[in-house]
Amino acid sequence: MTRWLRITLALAIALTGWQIAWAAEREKVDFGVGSAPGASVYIQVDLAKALGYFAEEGLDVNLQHFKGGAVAGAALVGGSIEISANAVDHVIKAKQQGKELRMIVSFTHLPGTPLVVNTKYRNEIKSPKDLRGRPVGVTAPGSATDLLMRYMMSKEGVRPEEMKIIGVGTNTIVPAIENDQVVAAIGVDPWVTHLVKRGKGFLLVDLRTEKDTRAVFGGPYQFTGLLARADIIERRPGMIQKVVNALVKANRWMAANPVEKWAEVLPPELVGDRATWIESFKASRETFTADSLPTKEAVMTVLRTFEAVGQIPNATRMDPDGLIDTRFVRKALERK
Amino acid sequence: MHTHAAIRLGQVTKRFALGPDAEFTAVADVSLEVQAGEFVSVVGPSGCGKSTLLGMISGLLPPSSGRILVEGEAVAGINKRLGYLFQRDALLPWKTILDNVAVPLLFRGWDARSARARARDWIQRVGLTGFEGYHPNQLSGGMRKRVSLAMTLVYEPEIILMDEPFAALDVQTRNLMENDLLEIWAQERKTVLFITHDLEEAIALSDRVIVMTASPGRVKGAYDIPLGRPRSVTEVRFHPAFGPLYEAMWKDLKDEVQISYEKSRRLA
Amino acid sequence: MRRAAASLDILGWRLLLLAAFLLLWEVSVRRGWIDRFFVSQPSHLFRQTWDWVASGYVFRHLWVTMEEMLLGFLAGTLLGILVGFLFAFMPVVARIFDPLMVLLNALPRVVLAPLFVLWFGLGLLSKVVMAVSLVFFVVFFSTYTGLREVDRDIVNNARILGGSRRQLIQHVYVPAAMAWIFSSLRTSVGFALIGAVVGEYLGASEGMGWVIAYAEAQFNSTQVIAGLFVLMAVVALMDFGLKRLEEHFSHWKAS
Repeated sequence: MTRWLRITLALAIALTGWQIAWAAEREKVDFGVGSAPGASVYIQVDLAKALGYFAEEGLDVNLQHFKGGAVAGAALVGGSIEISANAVDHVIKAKQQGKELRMIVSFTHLPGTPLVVNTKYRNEIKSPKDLRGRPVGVTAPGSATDLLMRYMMSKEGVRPEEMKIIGVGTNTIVPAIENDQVVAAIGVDPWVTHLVKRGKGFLLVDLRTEKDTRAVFGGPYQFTGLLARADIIERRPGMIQKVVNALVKANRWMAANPVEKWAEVLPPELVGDRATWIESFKASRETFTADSLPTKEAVMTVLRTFEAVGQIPNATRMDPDGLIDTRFVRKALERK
Repeated sequence: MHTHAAIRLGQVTKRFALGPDAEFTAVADVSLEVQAGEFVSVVGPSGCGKSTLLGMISGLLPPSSGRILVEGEAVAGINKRLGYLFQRDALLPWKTILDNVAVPLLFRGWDARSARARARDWIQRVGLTGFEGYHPNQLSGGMRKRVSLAMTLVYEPEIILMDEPFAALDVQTRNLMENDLLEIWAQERKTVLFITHDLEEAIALSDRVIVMTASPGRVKGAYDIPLGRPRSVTEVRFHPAFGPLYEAMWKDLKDEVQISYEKSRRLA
Repeated sequence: MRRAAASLDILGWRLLLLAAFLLLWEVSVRRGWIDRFFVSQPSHLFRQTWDWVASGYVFRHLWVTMEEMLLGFLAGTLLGILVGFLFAFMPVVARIFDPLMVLLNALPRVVLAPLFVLWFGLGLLSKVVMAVSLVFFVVFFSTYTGLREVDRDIVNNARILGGSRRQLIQHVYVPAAMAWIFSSLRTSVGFALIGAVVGEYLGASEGMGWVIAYAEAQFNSTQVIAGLFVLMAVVALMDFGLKRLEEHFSHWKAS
């Protein structure tokens, strides 16, 4: 009896000790992504995980995928996640409501979200102004894609009350267009490419290219990256640095390797149809920020867009320097 | 005057299934006859199948065996020429008194205007003038009984079945209602089959009283009531013939009440 | 007289409690005890609601929501009453479909909403269907119960009094079920609104659900809560109206 008790006790102690050691080894991070897994604009996160970069930094990353950037943004501000892969829009909107977020790594400096139109309407829709009064999709109401859509339409003279903008999610853009629920949508890759390749949609404005982005917005447009709350940055700079290190490494690896290699590394369920996937990421290559640095200029474009649409009246009065924090990227870049 | 049988029961039995292989015999082998224009009461302990009897005569319940003739015709389905006064009042609570009394006429295809005119008539005859616009729940139990009575009489059925209609009323109201019933009956000369567990009430109202056994209900005895008419139910109790009649019938009934009481105690 | 005074007292207490709650809320936010970002504050809510009313913005969206709600409510109620009667008067149908009804009612409608969007599109129809899917069952079950619970004596009496099947339905079953149906109508108005708003919240370009979803994306808790308040006011108003209607139709119940 006592012998058994002793053995059990010893086992229990050994087990807890091992668990404590394990926990000390790996720092836990609650990481929220503003899209279904596999989105091109957040592919750095999937790659860093697949390449084991988080583990190398000693991180135990708990990835949570949200339906859209807005939900993930709310979770970030509310504190249920510690960092988020998301659009810079949420930093700006939070600032407007008196909350301090920062973009600390840039993933994409072009929107990377093309405006795709149902092939049925090829002869009717020649430019965003032809979308007046028709149902069009964005990922979610008030999200970053919503802002892009409003800007493109209002730039061509469509008034807000003439816009019928509906949230259709990220990967659910495919059925939304195919079932004719929306005539057009600003969507995320690789799902847009799926539509185009199957002849269900055509690209009206390709915001994955510098050319089209410049034509619409007049310059680079800060899109996705890594966001964190300002107070978390001050409180846990060690954890933040480790996450940034992993993602900067992923950005570098992407710049150094062909898209075919990316498809090899990622879990097959994220890649799906390989040919389509490769095609979509090749088309998106210009969007990725090789040096990981968010820029003042690109953030300013977003602020101007917010102001032009009337969503945040005096957005351009905000200081872009107060919205980004490049210290961690610079430190990571110095490492090698 | 009693020329033909208004109601005739021949060896009627009613059994209810209680389960796959259990049944309960409510009424066994009952034969009786009620002449046209006669006022007959059926007395018996509670649970002797009195109400079942009325259910079968009205056509609401089919008998398990035996024959039932109403006005010489075998009962098949609900007989709409009958009147039936239930123990609990069954007025339509969402209709006014006037509309309640008019309902049987509407059912018979009368137009609303003449139905109401006639209903007003009967409301007056049962002494409820002034209450036409009230709803049933605004009236006392006695008043509701009067409405039920008017509702039954308004379409002039030749035969009226009454299932302990006054059981829930207090004694004073009850005597008033009984007198009114007798008065109306004297004018209309309907055939009445009246069910009660109250021997005094049965004697005071009836031409004939039938005593039934405890369950299963069988006919134990039948008594002619040689009291003159018109009667007053309150005064007839002091008639010299009343006491001996009561005693004779009570002897029949006492044992059955005892049996029924013991049974209910065993069940409890 | 005394009763009127008592109810005035109750009203006074309610208003007092409401005022105290709003005051506590406002002070807590101003003193920094609670973060305004999450709960906004009453003064902002009043200003926001006023701005919406003044600009007409809220009416445009409210109208859309009300349209979906009313259509869903009407369709759901009619369908519920119809099927309720079918079940009550055709026991075979009831026996065959009863388990199906129970199963369907157990489905979480909010989770089904994306499917409704897929089947019925992003427009009006998907919201109406959503509202119907909630309203139908409430009305169906109360109609069915109402019809089954009709007093047997009343039915037998009416049959003896000469009522045909059609007459019984008209004079007995319908009025008896009405009381049940009316009491369920007040619940189902709320359900119809939930259906419409959830539908809008999940995919729409207008309506109060969209207003709230959009405000959430802006991290604008003032607009979110103001939107909820507007919806609350609408439901309270409709509930009041229906209560009066119910009283009118079931005055026979009051003694």
